[in-house]
Amino acid sequence: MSDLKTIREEITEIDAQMAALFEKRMKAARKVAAYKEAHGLSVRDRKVEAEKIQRQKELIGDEELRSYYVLFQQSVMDIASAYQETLISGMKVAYGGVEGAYAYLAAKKLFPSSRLISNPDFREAYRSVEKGENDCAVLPIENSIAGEVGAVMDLLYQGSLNITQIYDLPIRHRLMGIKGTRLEDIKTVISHSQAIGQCSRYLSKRHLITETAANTSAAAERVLEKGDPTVAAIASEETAELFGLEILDSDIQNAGTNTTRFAVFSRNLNTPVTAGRNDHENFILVFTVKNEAGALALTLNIIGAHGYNMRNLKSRPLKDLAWRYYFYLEAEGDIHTQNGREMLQELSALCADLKLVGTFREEPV
Amino acid sequence: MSMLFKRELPPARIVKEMYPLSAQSAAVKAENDNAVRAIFRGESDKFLLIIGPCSADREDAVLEYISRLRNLQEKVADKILMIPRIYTNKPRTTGEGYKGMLHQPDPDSAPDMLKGIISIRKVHLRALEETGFSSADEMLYPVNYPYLSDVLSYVAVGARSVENQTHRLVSSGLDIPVGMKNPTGGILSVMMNAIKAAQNPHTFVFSGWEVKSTGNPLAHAILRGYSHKQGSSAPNYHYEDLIFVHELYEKSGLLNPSMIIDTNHANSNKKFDQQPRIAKEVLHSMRLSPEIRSLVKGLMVESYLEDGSCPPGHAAYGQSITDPCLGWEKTERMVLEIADLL
Repeated sequence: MSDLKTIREEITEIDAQMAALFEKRMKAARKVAAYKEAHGLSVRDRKVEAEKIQRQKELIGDEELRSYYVLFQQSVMDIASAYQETLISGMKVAYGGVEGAYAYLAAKKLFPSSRLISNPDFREAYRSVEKGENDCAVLPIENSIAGEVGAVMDLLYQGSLNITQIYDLPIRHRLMGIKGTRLEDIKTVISHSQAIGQCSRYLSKRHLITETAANTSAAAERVLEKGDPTVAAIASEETAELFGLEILDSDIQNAGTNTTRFAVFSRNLNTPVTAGRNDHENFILVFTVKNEAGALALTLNIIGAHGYNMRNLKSRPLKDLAWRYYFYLEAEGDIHTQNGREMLQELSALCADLKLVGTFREEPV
Repeated sequence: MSMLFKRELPPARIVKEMYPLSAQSAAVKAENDNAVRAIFRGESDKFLLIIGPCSADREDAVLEYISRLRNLQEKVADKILMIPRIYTNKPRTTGEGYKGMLHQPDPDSAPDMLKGIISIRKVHLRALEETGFSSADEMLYPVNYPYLSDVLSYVAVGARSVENQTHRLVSSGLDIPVGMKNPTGGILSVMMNAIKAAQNPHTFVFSGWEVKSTGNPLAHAILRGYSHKQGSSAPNYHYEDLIFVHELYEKSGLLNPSMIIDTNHANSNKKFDQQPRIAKEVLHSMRLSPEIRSLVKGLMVESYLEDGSCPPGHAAYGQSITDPCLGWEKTERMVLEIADLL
């Protein structure tokens, strides 16, 4: 049996090898961060991590050590993630609205360490990325109750940016007022028109007068400025905290679950390497069909023939042509494959206009 | 009607837009067409080999086969002109079994005509773009021809279709040679009538249009053997058979008298390995008779990468899943021998 000294020497040698590997590993993480910054991707992709660790576990021959290895690998990933967050802290993320609005919350959740840049509206946020002033934009595309956000839909049809990830933010509306406000004294409620719509039953039951604001954060700010105990705002818990307002009632939205789907827009199209694990991949197309009978059906048949499962299809009016529409389509599957490329080639013969807007993994955060 | 109209298929115009022919390949195709037409018009004495698998079951194996043909073609270019067989739809006597790439782009899966109609264009297009061969296909469903009209250099009408009015009329509107096979019963007047019908102009309904064809002076005969009423096979490639067809042509007044001999099917009784022997016998008859020599323009051979055949799902890569074919080595030897004998 070798003595302690020999064993220690062996450990020192292994540690030296691990140090070299650690350096290599972190340099690789640096490259990943650069890619993510260029493509508007968040640092943590928990699903990928969990899958990866499960696969890597099999590399350990000694079964007794496997659970230790999972812990080890988890901390390696934590360290690498923290490093990447630091690296992309200079990344500029545009959102529509002011600090505290739901768009801000979504951006904060996706890019906790990056610089979040407020924009007066969605269009400004979108254009700022197109112009290269910001690296990516976080914009709402759809609400589970109120439906699509038309202004953003139109931007993604007309603009040049690509969607690289999707984030579903659960919306829990709160009623809030200045300190000392009592729920029974409220007569007027200020909020964004979508939020007012989402709480319509609550508001009509209490015969409350409504006033609209540019966004929920602006509504909270106005309540604070007025200092009137008969006026309240509808906004998020975080917004109440930000403006020092008191929450008077919670979950006042019409449906129990109210989710807004946010998309991250980047100048670069993300082409994920998904070999062998493409089951969470999705893609978004926007297109117009030629003005011929059956053109839309032919288009959808081609998508079906390639085995992609269509999740959602919306039509939106083309602004300059009355009663003509463009289509927004989300489908499950990896489009960066031979099959996907052939489908796009075939669709391009059927569509007057066709654009692959982006790809995303389901619930990346 | 007891038909479910499942989905509308993209018209040929659209599928051609999806997979367009390059200008370069269009020029190659025009050149191939001219070379083939010259043989049927008697302006060229090159020997035609319409050669390839019984059915094009998978794109990769077919493309590999045709790439090998390209090398072989270069070796015998002074005497032989090859047209690869890419048969994308298969007639089935009872309607059961593998119906070809058109119906089953994946031989192991259920029919998918939308994928199929795109797949058959893709395989013909790839063959032309990658190897410079514009191929032969069987016209089993005449309405599908427009999907392939810019990539095919030769079309055959099968033994079961040759009596069909639509096949004859559509053949009259093609500007490439159309081979009319003798029917499975062997009655040659049926074949000669089909050639006559195809050589004359007609007005008919095609793809939802009233169309007028010009007549196809390059419609000609293919002898593929036949079945007796008791069911056994009989050949019709022997000297006497060929002379008989020559006599029929003499009496017919048809343009460009021409004949292709199918070395498989009922001529070999599907004994695929007899094809080289049958080929040599035809060449021998050509040497003996100047009439036969001028009439016989070439052979149709069933050949693939591997010998024989196997049912779908069991066949090796490059092995036929329909009728048995001659494997590559034997094919190469046969082609070189034919070139020597010519």
